[in-house]
Amino acid sequence: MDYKKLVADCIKCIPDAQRQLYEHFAAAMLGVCFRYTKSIADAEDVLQDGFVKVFKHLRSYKFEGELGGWIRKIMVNTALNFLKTNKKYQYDLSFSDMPLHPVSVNDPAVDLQTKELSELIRQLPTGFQTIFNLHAIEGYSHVEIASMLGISDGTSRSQYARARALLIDWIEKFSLKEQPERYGRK
Amino acid sequence: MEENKFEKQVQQKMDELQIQPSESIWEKIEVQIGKKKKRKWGVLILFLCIGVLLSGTYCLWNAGRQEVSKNTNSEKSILKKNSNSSSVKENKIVQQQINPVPESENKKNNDVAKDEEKGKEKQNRSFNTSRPGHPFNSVEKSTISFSGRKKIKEDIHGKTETETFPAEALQSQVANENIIRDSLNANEKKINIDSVSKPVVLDKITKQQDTSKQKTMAETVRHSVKNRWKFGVLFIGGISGVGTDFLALDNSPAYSSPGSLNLSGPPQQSRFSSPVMKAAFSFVTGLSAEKNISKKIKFVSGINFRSSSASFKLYDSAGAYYARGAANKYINHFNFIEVPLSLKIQIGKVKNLPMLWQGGISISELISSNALQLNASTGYYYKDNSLFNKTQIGFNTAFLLTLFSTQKNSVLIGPYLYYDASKIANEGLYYKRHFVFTGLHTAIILGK
Repeated sequence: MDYKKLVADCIKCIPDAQRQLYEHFAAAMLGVCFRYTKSIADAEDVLQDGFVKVFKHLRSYKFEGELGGWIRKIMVNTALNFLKTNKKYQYDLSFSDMPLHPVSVNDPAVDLQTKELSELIRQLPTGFQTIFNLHAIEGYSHVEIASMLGISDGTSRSQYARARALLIDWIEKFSLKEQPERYGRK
Repeated sequence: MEENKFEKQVQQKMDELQIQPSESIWEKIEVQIGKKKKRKWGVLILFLCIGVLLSGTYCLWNAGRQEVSKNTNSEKSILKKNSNSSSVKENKIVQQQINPVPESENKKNNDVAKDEEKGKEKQNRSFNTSRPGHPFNSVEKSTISFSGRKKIKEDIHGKTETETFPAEALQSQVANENIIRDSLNANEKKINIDSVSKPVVLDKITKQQDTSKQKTMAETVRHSVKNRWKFGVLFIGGISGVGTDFLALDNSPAYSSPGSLNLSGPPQQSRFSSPVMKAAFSFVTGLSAEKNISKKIKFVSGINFRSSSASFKLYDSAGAYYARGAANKYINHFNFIEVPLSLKIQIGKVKNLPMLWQGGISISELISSNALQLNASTGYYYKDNSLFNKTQIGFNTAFLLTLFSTQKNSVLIGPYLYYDASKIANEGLYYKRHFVFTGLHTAIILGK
C-alpha cells in the first residue's frame, strides 16, 4: 500500500482515503485498545477518539517511522487519557508509592492463543494492566512510563514485576487446566 | 535475557491480536471529522458575512450620500435658474419704475429685441419637439416647479390661459424647457443690457443671495461629509502575557507541589506544580468604523478577531501531554470575536502628522481555544474549555500617528495596550488570571 499517497489524500480530507486508512488499521488498533480497557465498548470508544486524533494530526506525521507505529502510539496515548479521565478506571490507576515485595522471576513458555492471553492481561488490575502493556508490549522504559503516568520509575518497576508475576501464575494455571483437555482431544 | 524471552513471546502474540470493530464506529468518526470541518467553515462564513455586511452598509451609505448630494446639486441649479428668471422678471418691473427712458424708445428697443427673439425662437423650436409652436417667455419660466401638478401660463393669440399638466409629463418637458430657458436668459440679458443700465445693481444683489445660498448648502454638504462613518482595516501584532496582577507579571503557579509556597492560586496542594506561563505572539485583526463626534473627537467601533496566546513547557507524546519531563513548548491559543467601543482624540495641532490617543472598552466572546488544563494529581494535561469565562471585557488604549493624512486613505500606526479586566477562568490552570496584550497598532482608514 502506498502510504504516502494515502496520507496525502487523507490530509486533503478525501473521504475514500480516510475510510481506506481506517479500514486498514482499525482491526489491529482495536486489538491495542482492547488490551488497555475492560470492555469492548470502552475499547471502541478509545478507537473512535484515537482515529479522530489521527486524522486531525496527520499533517504532523513526517514518515520518519512506520505509519502503523505512529497510529499505535496515538491509540496508546488515547487509551491512557481514557483511563485517567474515566471514573471507572481512575481509582484503579492510582498507584501507591510504597515498594512492593519482590517476586520470583520464572519465565514460562507462553503456550496460549492470542485471545486467551489478551483476556488474561485484561483481567489484571488496571494499574498492573497498564504498566504491563506499556512495558512488555509497547516497549516503553520505566522512566518513560513514569513520565506518562506521573509516577516514579521505581513504582513503575515494582508494579510491573507484580503484574508479570501475577500473569505468569495465571498462564501456568491456565495451561495446566487446558493441557488434559488438549491431550484428551488427541 | 529470560525476562526478554517472556516479553517477546507476549509481544508476538499480542501483535497478532486483531478485532474487527463494529460499522457504527466509522460512522461516528466520520461525523466527528465532518463536524470539525464544518466548524472551521462556520467561522470562515461568519467572517465573510460580517465583511459583506460591513461593505454592504458602507456601499449603501455612500450611495445614499451621493443621492443626497445629487439632489442638493439639482435643487441648487433649479434655484439658480428660478432666481435668474425671477431676476429678469423683477428687472422688467423695476425697469418700468426706474428707467426714465420714454415708452416710444423702449418700444423701439423692444421691437428690435422681439425681432431678435423671434429669430432665436425659430432656432429653439427645433429643440422643443414635445410642444412645437408654443414659445416660452420669461413669465412662463418662473412658473415651472417640481410639484405634483404644475401650472404653465401660455400666451396663445394674446390670451393668457392656465393649463394643468401631470408632473410625469412635465419632467421631459422641463428638460427641453431648460435648454430654451438658458437661451432665452441670454437673449433677455442682452435686452436688459441694451435697454437698461440700472437693474444690473439688482442682478448683483440676486447674485449675492445666490452665492450665500450656495455657501450654506456647501457648508451643510461639507458638514454631512465630515460626520459620515469612515471604515478601515486594522492589524495589531504583539505579545500577550497571562498573570494575576495588573501587568500580568505574576506568574506564580495555580497548583503547587507539597512544600512549595503558593500565595496567589487556590488553596490546592498537589503532586504537580502548574507550569510557568510565558508570553507568546498574539494578534488582533478586523474592520473598524469611525465617526466624528466633534472636531477633535471620533467614536470608533468595529469587529475584530483577537488571538491571545500563552506558552508553557510540557512533555508531548504524540498528542498526549504530561507535566513530568517537560521539554516541549506548547502554545495555548484563545480566539475571540471582539467589539471595541473607543474614542479617538486628536492631541496637539500638528497638521502633517496628527497624533491621536485612542481608548475605550472591548467586549469579546471566546469562540475557540486549544488551551490545556492540568490534572494536578496525575500530571496529565487535558482540554476543558467549559472552565473559561466565555465573555470578556477589557480596556484598550493606543497612541497613533496618522500618516498620509492629506491623502484619500490614511495610515495609523503606534503602540497599543490591551488589559483584560475579566478573569480568564474561575478555576483550573487559568484561575483568576487575565490577559495583557502589548503590540503595534496599524490601521488603514479608507476615504478622506
